Amino acid sequence: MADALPKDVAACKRGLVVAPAGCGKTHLITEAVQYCTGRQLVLTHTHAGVKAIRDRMTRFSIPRERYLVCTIDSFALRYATAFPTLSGWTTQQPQGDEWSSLQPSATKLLKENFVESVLRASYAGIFVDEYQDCTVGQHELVLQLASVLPCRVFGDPLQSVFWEVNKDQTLPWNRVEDSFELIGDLTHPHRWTEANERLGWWLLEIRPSLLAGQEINLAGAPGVIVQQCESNQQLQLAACQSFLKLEGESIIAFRKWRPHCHYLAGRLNNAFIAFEDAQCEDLLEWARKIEKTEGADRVRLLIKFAEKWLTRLPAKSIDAVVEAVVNRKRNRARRPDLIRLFDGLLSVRDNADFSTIIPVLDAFESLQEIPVFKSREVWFGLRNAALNSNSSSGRSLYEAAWHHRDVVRRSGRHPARRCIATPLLVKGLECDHALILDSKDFQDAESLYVCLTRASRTVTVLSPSSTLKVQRASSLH
Amino acid sequence: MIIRHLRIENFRGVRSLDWHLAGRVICLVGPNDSTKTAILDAIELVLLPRGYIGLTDADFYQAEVANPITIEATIGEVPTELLVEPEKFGLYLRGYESGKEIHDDPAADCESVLTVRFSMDKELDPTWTVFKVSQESPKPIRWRDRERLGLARLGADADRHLTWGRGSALSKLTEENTAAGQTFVEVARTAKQVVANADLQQLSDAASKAKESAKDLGAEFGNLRPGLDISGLSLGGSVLGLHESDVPARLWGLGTRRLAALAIQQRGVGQHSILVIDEIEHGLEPHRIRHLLRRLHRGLDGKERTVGQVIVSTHSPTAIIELPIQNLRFVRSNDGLTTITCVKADRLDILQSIARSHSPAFLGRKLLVCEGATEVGLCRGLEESWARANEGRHPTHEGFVTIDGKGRTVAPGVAQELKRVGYEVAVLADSDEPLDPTADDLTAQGIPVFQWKDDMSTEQRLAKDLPLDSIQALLDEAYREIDTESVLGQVANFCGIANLGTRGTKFAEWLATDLTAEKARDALARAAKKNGWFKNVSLGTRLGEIVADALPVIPASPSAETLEKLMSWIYG
Repeated sequence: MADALPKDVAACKRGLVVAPAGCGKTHLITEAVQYCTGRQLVLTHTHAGVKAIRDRMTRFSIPRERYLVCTIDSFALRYATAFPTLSGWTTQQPQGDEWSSLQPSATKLLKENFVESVLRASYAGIFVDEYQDCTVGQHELVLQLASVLPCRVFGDPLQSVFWEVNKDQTLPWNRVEDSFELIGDLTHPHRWTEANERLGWWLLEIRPSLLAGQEINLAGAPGVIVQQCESNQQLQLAACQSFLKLEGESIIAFRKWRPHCHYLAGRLNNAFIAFEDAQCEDLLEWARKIEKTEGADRVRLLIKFAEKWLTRLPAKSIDAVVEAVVNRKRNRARRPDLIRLFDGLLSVRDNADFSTIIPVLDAFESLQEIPVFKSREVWFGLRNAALNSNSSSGRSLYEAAWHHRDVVRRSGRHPARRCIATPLLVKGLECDHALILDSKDFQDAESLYVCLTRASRTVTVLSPSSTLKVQRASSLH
Repeated sequence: MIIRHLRIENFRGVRSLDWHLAGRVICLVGPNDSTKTAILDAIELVLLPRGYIGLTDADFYQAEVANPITIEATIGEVPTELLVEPEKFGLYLRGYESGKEIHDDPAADCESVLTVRFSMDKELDPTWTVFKVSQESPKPIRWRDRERLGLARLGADADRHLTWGRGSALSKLTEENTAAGQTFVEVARTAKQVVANADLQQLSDAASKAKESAKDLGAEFGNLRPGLDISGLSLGGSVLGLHESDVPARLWGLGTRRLAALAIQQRGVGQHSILVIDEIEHGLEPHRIRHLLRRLHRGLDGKERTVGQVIVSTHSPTAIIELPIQNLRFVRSNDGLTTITCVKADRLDILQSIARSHSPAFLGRKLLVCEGATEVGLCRGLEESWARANEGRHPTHEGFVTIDGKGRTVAPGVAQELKRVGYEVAVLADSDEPLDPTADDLTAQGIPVFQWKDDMSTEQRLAKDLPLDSIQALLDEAYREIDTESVLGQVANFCGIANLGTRGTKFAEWLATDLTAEKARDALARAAKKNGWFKNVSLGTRLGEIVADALPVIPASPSAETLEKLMSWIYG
């Protein structure tokens, strides 16, 4: 029965596969593409997703001419910008909210007859991964594609965690079921086969309760450890530290909000890395701010940047250095590391070239207090941008940061062995151990399910009770 | 595939061309320096199904390498394989609004087209790209993809396609690419064998001597013998070619070679090809030209071509007769600005009949639209004298051609349309009845009008001005061509003298108190006009010759004055 699924998918003109986490969805897509004739357009949502599918295709030696993988948005952008008069879309690099108006423009364009012939010339069929993450606009775009080419979509209503991001654009799952007939479900927990298969089966078992928004009882669940407590920062730090002794095994600690992640990372002595989003929004924002300043203002802004992303800075000594730099006084600091910082800031003050930022960042890093990163990614992102910008050739710091973002998005990221993240950021990633630092963070079934299904060995939950009450995100929002 | 629009900048004699092609079968007509060949070469270059070209500084307009060569062909009916995105050009489609404009996006009422651009700057580094304004940068198009655009050119190198040489149409038609290569290997092996087995005593002796001497110097050989080094045999694909029995293609007649090369190319690229042919008549008898054009224009089923495109140039009247006039394009070049025009829809009928009856006219440069056959004959008869008066330069060398404009209401329109499509045009007309449109209108449009003084017909003016012996000569010609009795009867009608014939056949004999010379001349003119004596070709020509002989005697006459102006225009 399970073996027939890839062929059924390949033969289907318009259908849906419900794919719980870790049950071989990417594998199924790869296999189904093999059974198809002609080139398939495989759409997903994130660049990490694109990379995962591409890697799998390569691993299975599927010839490159048999598929093209890209995000729905980049596909829409490629078409909409190619024909601006017809789509009404002119923004080459949309940002923030602009993305949400992209899909209607692209959908309008896709209705043109000539686009249909381009689609037919280019592709024989379409696959859409992570369908639960679609916005209403993306769904309508896919429906338009489905009117031209065979279209199979893959998704899981329980992994729909973008309610906060997508808001009223969130696609209700019943609309997916109305538009696509069910081809089948994935039913085998492949991800857990080697490490903790029973955990995998348990995660499948609790799906009906989660889907119904009922209570989940963690007691006795295979590989699930409940640390019964009222979670607080001390306990959270201790819980994280308890994993330091595990050699060679990966862990993701979960909190709901990114500032919490940054805070914990800053307290954990660089042992845990705060996981950033691939959009690099923080980096871009700082690059833009720094670029607009010069002289003493830029000096002060760099100090703010350091204060934001590093902990354990010697505030008083730094204040004195900045005071001397800004007011053109003699440096009184005697410590070599502070002298180095002073020299660095001096050249930032007198030279607007972005390259002067690099010695300053390096000087901070080598302070004898050994500062701890709240986010390595933002820090080194800025350093990289400064390195690749060029005041004389006109590549601004912001442009260089933008380029850095593109590289990050294209190459995909391997999470650090130990990181702190939100469910939104690590959707699709896997680790050995998951640590839910505060069960109160995750009251919606979707976020909880995503956290629980990241780990193949154990899940540790800091919770006052071993029974978790959940609600469907749709009823919470 | 079909080219909808062509733009050329700074290529050969073309500083600038902007041309909507509008049609599947297009025949370029124009004088020798009108850049027809440059246009065909540009089409070949922009769609070149190969990677190599050998352009030099001389291929830039006025050899001015500072101004880059740009050729843009906007092509419709794009093959599906080229639409594959993102690798190919599906997202580079533009819209063509027929005959008007290229829109960057294909709007609803537009055809989807691709714009292919060739460009070369002073580094002589050619680039081929597909271009669309909304795309950040043009996308290179490799020769393999250009090959799919299906260009086939029949130019000076037609013979190449009759061999299995590299890139020839015959090679492309050969399914297994290695077939030709395999043949060479076997030819070489056999040749080697033949030499090895031959009795080559003198060569062997020389080899032995060489062996001995080499040994003296310390180089020892075993069996040193003559053999064939096949790398020295230049067995390029071009030596393997089509033969008819034992006759290689290069010894066939020119026309046959061209037809065969064309057939092979068409077979290779298929019906959807864009076929470009220089001087289609080259080497072909008229009946073969006609057959070829008919086949290119219509399919075997006799229906007009519905796929692909044929673009030819010609200097042949046969081609002009064979093709409907709407397929002709008139090419003109002025100070590097090339313009290409076609006949307006509402003038197609009258120009079509001109093309059928006066096909050489379209190959001329100075076209004189005559009101009728009389004026055509008159000019024909005068041509030799004009040549004598101009150091032997015959009017035809000036590209002078006369056209029968079929009357005062048709001729002006013919002249206007010919002027519009780029010819230098004048009108020679009677003055007894006004032209429509009027002579003033024509003059205002840059069309000189030559008419006779005092509102006279051609016959009246000449009859009034010619000396007596010329009049008699005309009369004698008329007697001979028509018959004496009829001629006398016709003149008698206009004199009002019933038995004119009884006075004799000489003009001088007619004159009496009841018939003055003036009246007799007028009667003669009217009879000639009424009965169309000189519309007869030979009689019309004789008229011209007689006038030519008489002109030196009557240099100040109104006739001479008009004809003098006409001659100045021809040689102007």
